Amino acid sequence: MTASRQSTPAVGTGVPRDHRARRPRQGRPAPAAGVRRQALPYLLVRLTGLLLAVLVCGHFVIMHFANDVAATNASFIAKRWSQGLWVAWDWLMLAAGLLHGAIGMSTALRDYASGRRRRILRALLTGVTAGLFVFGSIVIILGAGS
Amino acid sequence: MSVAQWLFVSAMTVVVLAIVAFMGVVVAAARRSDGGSYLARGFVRRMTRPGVDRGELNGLAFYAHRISGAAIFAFLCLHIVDVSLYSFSHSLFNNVHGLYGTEPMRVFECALLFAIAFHTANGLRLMVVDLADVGRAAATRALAGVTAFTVLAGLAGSVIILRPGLA
Repeated sequence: MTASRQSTPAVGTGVPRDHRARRPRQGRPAPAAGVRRQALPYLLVRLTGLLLAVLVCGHFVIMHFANDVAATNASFIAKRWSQGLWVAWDWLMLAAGLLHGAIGMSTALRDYASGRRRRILRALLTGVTAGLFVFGSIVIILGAGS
Repeated sequence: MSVAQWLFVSAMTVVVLAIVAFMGVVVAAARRSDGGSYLARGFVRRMTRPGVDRGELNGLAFYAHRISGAAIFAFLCLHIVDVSLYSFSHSLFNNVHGLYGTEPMRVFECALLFAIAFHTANGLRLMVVDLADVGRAAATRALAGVTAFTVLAGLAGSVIILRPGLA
């Protein structure tokens, strides 16, 4: 796997970035060339994952266990979105879920596609995710405002 | 069935097909990189060995995590769109939302519950394994707990989800 396909800028040369790597401490091996580059997605996936463990499980419990799904309708949503807590809950769930999913799918994409196909699929993934985030945010803002 | 409901059912079919296709990609790649006997006779033979030898259980958890994650993401993309109907028309939203109460959708919701339960529990396990650096044996023991939680939460939740249709 070459470094030239990574989406992060300034790594397209494929040259190991030794000048950026910290000098290894005694007895600890230096991190591999790709490690620093992956640190942000690694952290974001775990932080959003922790958040989603609460938000998504709570959402599922409320929508399927506490209420029967057939008993909920638009007035149920209207009641919920009149409260700041549920607007914040749903928007945070939208943002964290899409970010978590996009990073995860991007990781899988690196294993299963390469070259032009990977670039196209990654652009598609980014476009769909960003589009759904903007669209969903507008829906929640409009719903909360009405 | 209204046009909106027909569109939802079509999109739902695409989501399920996408999940199945993704599973095919993952399993094909796993067979390539882990040897041709993966998920075949050699796998069954390895499963009969004592627990400490079965490091590949963590590998299986990796694939299950990836497939369940992709499945949830695929459904999320559709779910954002169907909830957004609320902004356009409440009656349109109710029309499509009513499908969630039908039997096939309830079965899908049970599958979704299994996926969410496993993905959540296994994700938390991975975080603990990374942060506490507990080693492979403890990680595999924790995986047994994750599996037990998935099965129990999935079955109990499925009873609650399916009960209105069964009664």
